[in-house]
Amino acid sequence: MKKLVAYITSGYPEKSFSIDLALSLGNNGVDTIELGVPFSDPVADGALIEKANHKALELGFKFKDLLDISKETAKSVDTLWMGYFNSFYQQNMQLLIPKAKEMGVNGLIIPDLPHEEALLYKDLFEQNNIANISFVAPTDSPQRIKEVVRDAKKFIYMVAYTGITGSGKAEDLQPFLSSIKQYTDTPVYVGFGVNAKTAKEKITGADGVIVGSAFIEILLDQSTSYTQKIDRCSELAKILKNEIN
Amino acid sequence: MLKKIVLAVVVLLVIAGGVLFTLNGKDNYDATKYSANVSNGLNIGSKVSFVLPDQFDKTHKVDSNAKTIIFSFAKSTGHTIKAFLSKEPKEYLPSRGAFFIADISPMPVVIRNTFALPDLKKSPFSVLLIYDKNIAKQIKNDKNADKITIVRLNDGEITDIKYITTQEELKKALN
Repeated sequence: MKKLVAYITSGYPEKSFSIDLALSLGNNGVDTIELGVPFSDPVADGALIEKANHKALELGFKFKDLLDISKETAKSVDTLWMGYFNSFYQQNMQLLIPKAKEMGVNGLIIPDLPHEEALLYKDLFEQNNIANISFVAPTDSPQRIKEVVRDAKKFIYMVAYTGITGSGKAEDLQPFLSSIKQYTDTPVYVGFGVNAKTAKEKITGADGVIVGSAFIEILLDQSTSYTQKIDRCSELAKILKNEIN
Repeated sequence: MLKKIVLAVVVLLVIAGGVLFTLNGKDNYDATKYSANVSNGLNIGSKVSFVLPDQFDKTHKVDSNAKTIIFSFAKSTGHTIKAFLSKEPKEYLPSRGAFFIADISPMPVVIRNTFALPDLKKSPFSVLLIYDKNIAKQIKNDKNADKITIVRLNDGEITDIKYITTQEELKKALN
């Protein structure tokens, strides 16, 4: 069974909503919840997630909210934290990683922490059995891919922008996926640009998909109630799970 | 004694991390190949020319051939410009003697290489990229960095500058 990871912005629109949403997603096909830590400059994210980040901060998100949400979600669904390094660093990594373990969190996704710098925290992650999810992108050299995936835990986050080549032809991600798999048995999940329309195509050769903006778009819809947002996200989760399997 | 050993190990780890980062975190950007000649910033009367790579590493010369340059110094303005151009034919900018230049110099290398460049490669039109902070500082106006900058040129000299925010304004400026 191929896996579905759903990103949600923690605390948007409020803490209790995030808990209800995560639990509902867990009951509707989502294998792993990525709890996004709102950040003022989420440089790796697109416009929708950036907007949700800013709104969550405007609504008064505090790091403690993430802990409260995680404590509840991790009881029922595999839970990860996704955030920018400064958010975690400010909490003191030596204290935070054991805290994550205590909350039941199984891993961290930190897009702006290069693999080479993450090595400084390798022992800390391993001692607490917390995965530091590795990213690979089509722009990475084979040498770098080999280096990055060697230490990969839980899954590898493959940045799956289907770009075009300089000659204008659609880029084929399959050779890239194969190049990752030749170095590792760790599952490869594809993210970025995955939605109900693209999931079937993006999952080809991969072990899972990561979906963010498609859920956040529903959350940002001002015309729906909290219950409707949860229902629509849960319906989307079912569709996505069906598409990838 | 134990403290000294621990400290030495930490220092070695930091150095090793730095070396690895230098080896693996670098990009293909070759600063010697690209340049900017700007006589007086982005101001009317200033003479400007650029040699810059696009997202596919193709080199572009922007000199007396340019009638209009669209500058983006922030992610949000980049999104607006990309959203507008993605609805237009690939030749939309060249047919107007226009160039789109995006300043990506403030981005951490890992973000640039892992997320921004793959994302930019989705666009069929050329986005000329400023990787180098030394080039960016010659033209960046911090006061208006959150706006799209439209520069009109005549034979390489700036004749008009506008700061805009929306796709509608961009369309108007390019027509």
